[in-house]
Amino acid sequence: MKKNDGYVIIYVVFVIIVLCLAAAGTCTSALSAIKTQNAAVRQLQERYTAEGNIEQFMAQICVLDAPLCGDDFENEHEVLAAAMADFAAGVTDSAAVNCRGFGEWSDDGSEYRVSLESSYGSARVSAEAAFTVSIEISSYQEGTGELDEEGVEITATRFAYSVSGATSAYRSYALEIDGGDGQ
Amino acid sequence: MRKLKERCGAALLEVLVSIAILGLLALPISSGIMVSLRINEQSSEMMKARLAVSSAAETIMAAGISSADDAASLDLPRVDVENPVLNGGYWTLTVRSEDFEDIFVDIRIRSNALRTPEGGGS
Repeated sequence: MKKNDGYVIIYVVFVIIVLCLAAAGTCTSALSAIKTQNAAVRQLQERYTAEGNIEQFMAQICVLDAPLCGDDFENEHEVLAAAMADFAAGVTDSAAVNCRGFGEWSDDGSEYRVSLESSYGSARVSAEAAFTVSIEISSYQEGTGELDEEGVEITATRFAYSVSGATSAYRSYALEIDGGDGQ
Repeated sequence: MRKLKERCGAALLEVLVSIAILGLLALPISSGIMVSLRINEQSSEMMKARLAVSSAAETIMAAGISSADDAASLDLPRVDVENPVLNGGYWTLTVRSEDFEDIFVDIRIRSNALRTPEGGGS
């Protein structure tokens, strides 16, 4: 009886198992490192995309392709706030930014503040933007359709408001990153 | 003649077969281990590259950009600033690591002309 037939192969198998376990351990470690790095780069890109959405929104508001005009009101701030909110609603869709309701004018009427929020992936940016707006007010006479005793049409003074320029700044800024699993 | 009933040790054939199997399997396993060790070593370099990109992007967003030349003249360590384009009031550009092409961010930033001078940064 050949007692020792095939025993060498068993030792070889043991060695191979040990090598495989070592390889599995290091490969798992390397894979985890790669996944973590990829997740970190993705989070970084998501963060700057969310911040870029806010920046784009603020820039588009400031450029003001069409002048914001209103008449028939005496309070230019209300007119401009409403017009700016309408403008912001149109811009918001393209910039993926949530504009939380209408903004507010500061007490001295120099700033128009809007709360903005942008989310992308795991990143969420919340900011209060302040727009410093230069308003030009001009008045004109408009006929009311009524005639006076002499048959001359009665006119009323109307006001036209246009924004000659706007700049923006942040009054508050918060960035939140949802904790990813790093995978 | 005395018949040899027991045989100690291993037959040559067994040894040869074992060496062949071990060689076939040990080579890819060892390669895998070497690659893993190299990847782990590279991870620290990738982390530094990512931090450089993040730092550069923060610097750009804080300082702002007035013109394409302004963006091109930025001397930021270990990153390249690519393709600054003005789109109606805001700049779009890419900040990319010099060492790893896959580590980059696309940023959009208001033009300096649209920033309120007092507390106008981000």
